[in-house]
Amino acid sequence: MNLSVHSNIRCLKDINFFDLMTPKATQDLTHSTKEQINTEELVKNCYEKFKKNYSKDSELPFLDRNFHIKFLQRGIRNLPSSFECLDASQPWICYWILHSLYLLDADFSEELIDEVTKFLDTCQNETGGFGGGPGQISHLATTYAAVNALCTLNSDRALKIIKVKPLLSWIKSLIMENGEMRMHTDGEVDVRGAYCAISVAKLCNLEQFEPKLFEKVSDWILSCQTYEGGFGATPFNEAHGGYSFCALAALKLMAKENLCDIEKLTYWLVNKQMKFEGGFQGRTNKLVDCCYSFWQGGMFPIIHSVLMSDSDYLQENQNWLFDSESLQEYILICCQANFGGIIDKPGKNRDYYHTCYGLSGLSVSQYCMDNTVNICENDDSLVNRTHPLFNIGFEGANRAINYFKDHLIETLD
Amino acid sequence: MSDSESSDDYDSIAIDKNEWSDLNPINQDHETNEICRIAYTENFNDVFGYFRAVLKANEISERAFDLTYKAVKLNPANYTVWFYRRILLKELGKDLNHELKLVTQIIDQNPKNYQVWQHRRNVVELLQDPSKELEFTEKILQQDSKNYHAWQYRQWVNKNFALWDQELDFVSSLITVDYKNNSAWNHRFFCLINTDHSESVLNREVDYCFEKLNLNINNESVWNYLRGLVDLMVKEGFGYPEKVCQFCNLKLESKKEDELSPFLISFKIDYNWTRAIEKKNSDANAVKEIVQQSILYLNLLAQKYDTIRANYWKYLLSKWKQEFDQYF
Repeated sequence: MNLSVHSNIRCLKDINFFDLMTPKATQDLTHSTKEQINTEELVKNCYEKFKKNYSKDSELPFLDRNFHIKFLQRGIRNLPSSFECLDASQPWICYWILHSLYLLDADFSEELIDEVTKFLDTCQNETGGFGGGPGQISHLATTYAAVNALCTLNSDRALKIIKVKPLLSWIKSLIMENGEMRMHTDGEVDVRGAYCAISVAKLCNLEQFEPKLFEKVSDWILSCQTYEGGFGATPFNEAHGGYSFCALAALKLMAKENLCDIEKLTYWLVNKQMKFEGGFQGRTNKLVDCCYSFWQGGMFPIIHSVLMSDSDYLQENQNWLFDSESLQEYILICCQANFGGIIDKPGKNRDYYHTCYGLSGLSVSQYCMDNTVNICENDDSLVNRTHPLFNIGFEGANRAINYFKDHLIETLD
Repeated sequence: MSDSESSDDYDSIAIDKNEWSDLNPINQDHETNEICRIAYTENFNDVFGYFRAVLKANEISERAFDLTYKAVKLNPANYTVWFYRRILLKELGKDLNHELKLVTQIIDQNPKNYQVWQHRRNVVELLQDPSKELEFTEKILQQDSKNYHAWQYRQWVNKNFALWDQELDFVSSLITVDYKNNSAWNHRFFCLINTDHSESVLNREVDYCFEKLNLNINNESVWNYLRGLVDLMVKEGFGYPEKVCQFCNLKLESKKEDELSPFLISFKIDYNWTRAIEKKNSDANAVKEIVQQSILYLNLLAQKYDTIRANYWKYLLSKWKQEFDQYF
């Protein structure tokens, strides 16, 4: 059922909408405030431009699927030399593009499935895990990205290449005594590692071999929750959207999400939605960024599942605890680049990372249990649903989980 | 090539293939592979072609060491190169102080890169010499006062080498420059926890919050820090600080629009919840008053002062109703 209530767009229906902007008081000239005011000006321009365009075309806003798909399809095969800085993140490029295409309901040809599978296999190491490219040592982030990309292909031939036993032993080698995890041999420690490892372990059913694999990790993750309520990279680091998502999703995957202070997390999290822009910031008193549409927005389904058990209200009112419509306004009105791709904020350039997480956040905001929320006139602007823990399609996730359960005997060899 | 890199003689990053005639480079397969083909520039291709060969052969040599420098200059995010460089540092017995100078330069040029900060940590750990570290992070924070890696690294230095003396002054000066610098406030809490957090210190910290709130009542950083302080005071057995209630009530009674911050209001609601739970079975009148005030505030937030969070305020309303049904 489409509950799109088009005229609810704030800049159209609310004459006082621009009063939500930060007052330009002369006393407060702190750097943080100046930055915020500058950003709001750029966002304001987008909303004002939209108002003008809307008066000529009431079909606005809409998700520009065709342009986004074209932008994405170009990137999967050939990339300019400016991508040398991502030479150690090639599985990420695959995942960002493939997941975005999945959300946009674009098909993958059999050839593409085979080619991506073959390519990611060249990033895989005999000793387990995937590196950022052929000849690179394994890294938890690129392993997470590679496994997610393979799952997104939604094909057994893609899943087959994952060397499960070496993957397990390599992951084990990265778990330290106190439960913290390194991203690679002799690499940095932070909560991303735990999330990447646990996500991959769940999809590939690694715990069949070692049920208590992550026993010490959950306590370490809990120690990363700060006085603000969010989680930092390591204990006592500032609460941050990306790390908070990793912490909460990892805990949820281990069924230990209720061990953290959910109320405090929720209070911190709801305050990360920017009241004027509509999008999310990553940390207190910092700027909006479209990628946090997922990192922050994506925590709400998890929180909902916890709070729901003790709340008739949440069971009856099928809305996440944030303002889904305002988030959609920010993504669709302010963050769609002219010829495809999604951006961080007005003034920035498009890239595959922001496209992936902008669309993923859009997906979270569009689907709340049985309810659909869509600020656009047309269902055409609805993306596919994303699994809030892995951030891949449900079909891909379920296929992988079933595949590695069913192939138990074979993978033992 | 950016301007900042041209000061670094281009020739020092270019590879001399004559030096490598004995080794076959391992190139990326752009023939049979059709995915993710980056159009590498010639030098990039050469450097990494030889690096992959060096890694595979496990070559321990000066030329390999120099090669890793070229490689990290071309792509500082290549963690494999850093990993191998650390092996070479050890095997070749390289001067770690010189390495520290090098990583200083490269962090300066790439302050948001994970690998360079980790490399610095590894070097400093081996050197067991933190003498330059606080000054270094301060310099990076001067360029970007919220650089997450810098703060994370600084916390590691503080804790690992027990260097706490400068921290409170450092953090205070940053807060004076920008009282919305949440990274500084977070660091302040970290210092508190790891040093003196006796009752008198925590009281002083509460006063510090009031001082900053009087400059701007709508600063989330301070309210979050104040919540943290109050939780800590209760946890340590010092009891809830009365002066915080007084401060909030004073501000709430002010009725001036620009004095009514949503953070102030939600702080009071939070306080009310604890009080109401406490008095639930002992003082019905008090609870009734508290409940009514909280409902009023929650409705004000949802409908007027903080409408983007209406779903959340309404959820809290439902929690109040659930718990204190008889007072509705």
